[in-house]
Amino acid sequence: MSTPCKRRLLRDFKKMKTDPPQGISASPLNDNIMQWNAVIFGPDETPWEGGTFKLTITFTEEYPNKPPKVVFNTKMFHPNIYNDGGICLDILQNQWSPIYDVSAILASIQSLLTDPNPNSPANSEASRLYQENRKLYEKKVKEMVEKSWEEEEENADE
Amino acid sequence: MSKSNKKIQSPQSDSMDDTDGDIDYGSDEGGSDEEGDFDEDEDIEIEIEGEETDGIYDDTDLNRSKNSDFTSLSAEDLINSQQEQVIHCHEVLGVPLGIAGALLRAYAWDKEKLFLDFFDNRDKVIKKANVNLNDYVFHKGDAKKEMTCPVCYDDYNGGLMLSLSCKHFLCRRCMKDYLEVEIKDGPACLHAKCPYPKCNVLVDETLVKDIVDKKHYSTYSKFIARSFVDDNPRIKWCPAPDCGRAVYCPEGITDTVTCTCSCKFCFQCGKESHVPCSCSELVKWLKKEKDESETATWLTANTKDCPKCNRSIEKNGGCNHMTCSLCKYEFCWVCMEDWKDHSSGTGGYYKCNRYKPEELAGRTKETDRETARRELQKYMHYFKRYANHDKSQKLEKQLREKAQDKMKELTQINKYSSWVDVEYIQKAVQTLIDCRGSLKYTYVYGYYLDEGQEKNLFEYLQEDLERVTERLSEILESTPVEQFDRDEIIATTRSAATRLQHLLEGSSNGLVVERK
Repeated sequence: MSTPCKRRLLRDFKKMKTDPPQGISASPLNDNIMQWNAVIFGPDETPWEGGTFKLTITFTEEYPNKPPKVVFNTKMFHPNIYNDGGICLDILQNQWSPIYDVSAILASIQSLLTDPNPNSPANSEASRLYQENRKLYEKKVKEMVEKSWEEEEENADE
Repeated sequence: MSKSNKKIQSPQSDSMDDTDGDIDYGSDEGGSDEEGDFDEDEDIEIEIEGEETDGIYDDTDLNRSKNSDFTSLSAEDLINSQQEQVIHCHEVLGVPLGIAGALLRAYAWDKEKLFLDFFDNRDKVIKKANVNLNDYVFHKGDAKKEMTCPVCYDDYNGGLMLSLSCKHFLCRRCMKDYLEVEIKDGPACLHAKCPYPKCNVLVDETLVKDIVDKKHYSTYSKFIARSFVDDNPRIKWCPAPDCGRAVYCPEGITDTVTCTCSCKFCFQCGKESHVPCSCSELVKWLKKEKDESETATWLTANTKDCPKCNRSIEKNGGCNHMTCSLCKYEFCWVCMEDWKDHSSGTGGYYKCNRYKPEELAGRTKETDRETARRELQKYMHYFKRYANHDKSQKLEKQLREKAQDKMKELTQINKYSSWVDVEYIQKAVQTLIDCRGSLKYTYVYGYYLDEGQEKNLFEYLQEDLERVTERLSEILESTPVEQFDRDEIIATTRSAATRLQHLLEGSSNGLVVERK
């Protein structure tokens, strides 16, 4: 339990509990600190408002010198999010810095929702609509937000 | 590189100049001679190729024909030479060692250009390499204060915190972990930056050396050495498998260089030495070989039938003089005709290298198909001989190992002979391998050579060399060791080496120049 990685993750968790960024929550699994579940809430006054988007974060022993793997479990419609939930975000790849922590990662992903980068598309349809037909794009996003509630209910039923 | 640039020296004068020859690497670089006092005194001396001349062969020693300016560098030499360049740059430009290294890497080790640019527009150079000159390469925090490391969140005395010139502090442990992970990631670690988000300050080598463990630093040094070769147009890796050495050529004018591991390769394309044919001819040829390989397969099959008794014969040595083990018929492996026709004793010549275009006079109407067929025939003629020498060459490389045994055997047979007395065998085998290597490529060269007087001359030289090579091959392979005639072997070796030299000189001076 005393590797630099695990100590650092404990501290990330502590920070997440005491000072969570707005609209974000995250915690490690009970039996595995290397695996976290997180939820990002859609920012208010955007098409994403009201959405609850679930993610899993997987760390390696090289954290924080290597970024964790972050994927959405909720089905997303976004120019920089792949169909399988993978995220195309520079700080999770070549712009990673060991200074970033869990809360910084999730905050970046949250801002990516409302501020996509259509130049590196991971979902070409979303990217095209975002650039060419913003109205239809927002409609699709809102549909997706509603679906995220259904998924929520399904999970609650189980 | 244009062939007219080639430095031509007579082999004799060459060997005299260099017999005592350790050269000081890098002394060709302007001004480094004067800068004798390096902080880290690493006066490396690297042996020049083909140093051992024992008087028997020095007039025709092929290793040193006209290109003896190159230097073979081991992994250790590479690190040392690279460090010397950094130290020189550090002294001339007055910048810290780590920065000197970063500048050189940013300039692909082109020291002259770096110096010019640096004195011309220092700021541009600094920006290009992402370094900061007006500061120490790394800082320690204020020892009177407590600081929190932004990576592990532990509190430390400032004296234990480190930063690059950007003053983004990390604790020593986290900086070490960060750098070690970068190094484990591969050669990109040479471009590692400050761990702070969006900070572009390049990690300084001095900092790496200071904090990472020995194992990681040695990996890092290897990456630097590798960049020293990969980015540097004057140094090329030896292509021999598992060699790991590199060869340095001061002016970049040499065609063929020889690594200490005895691998000969072309300094321009990095492939196995292919004189007399040019790099572009070789590329064309290899492509053709690939394209035509299906047609060629049956012709290069390993077995042939004895022309007399039809028994299948596998060629298991390099010599083309075949004797059927059943009927004792002697024939030439290339043309399958009686070997007697080949010896000069019967007034004949070794004709197997000549390709005679079919008499065209009588043929007035020629279809495309016939042209294609004729073209293929021509190609097959050259390819067969090329492939044949290639195969012999491979077999003779095994002979090199056998030669060692033969030499040992000989010293045992005759108690009075020492190792030096039997060294001629090694020389003979090496010459044989060299001749085969070049003969192989003479067929590529010949294939692309236009019909005419030059070609006739070239084929004459080729034929001459081929004959002596076959003779040498035969003596070495089929004579029992105890019957080795030292004088005969030395004479044949010398004769082969001289002919090879004539052929190569002829093709590079006479023929090539006229061929544009």
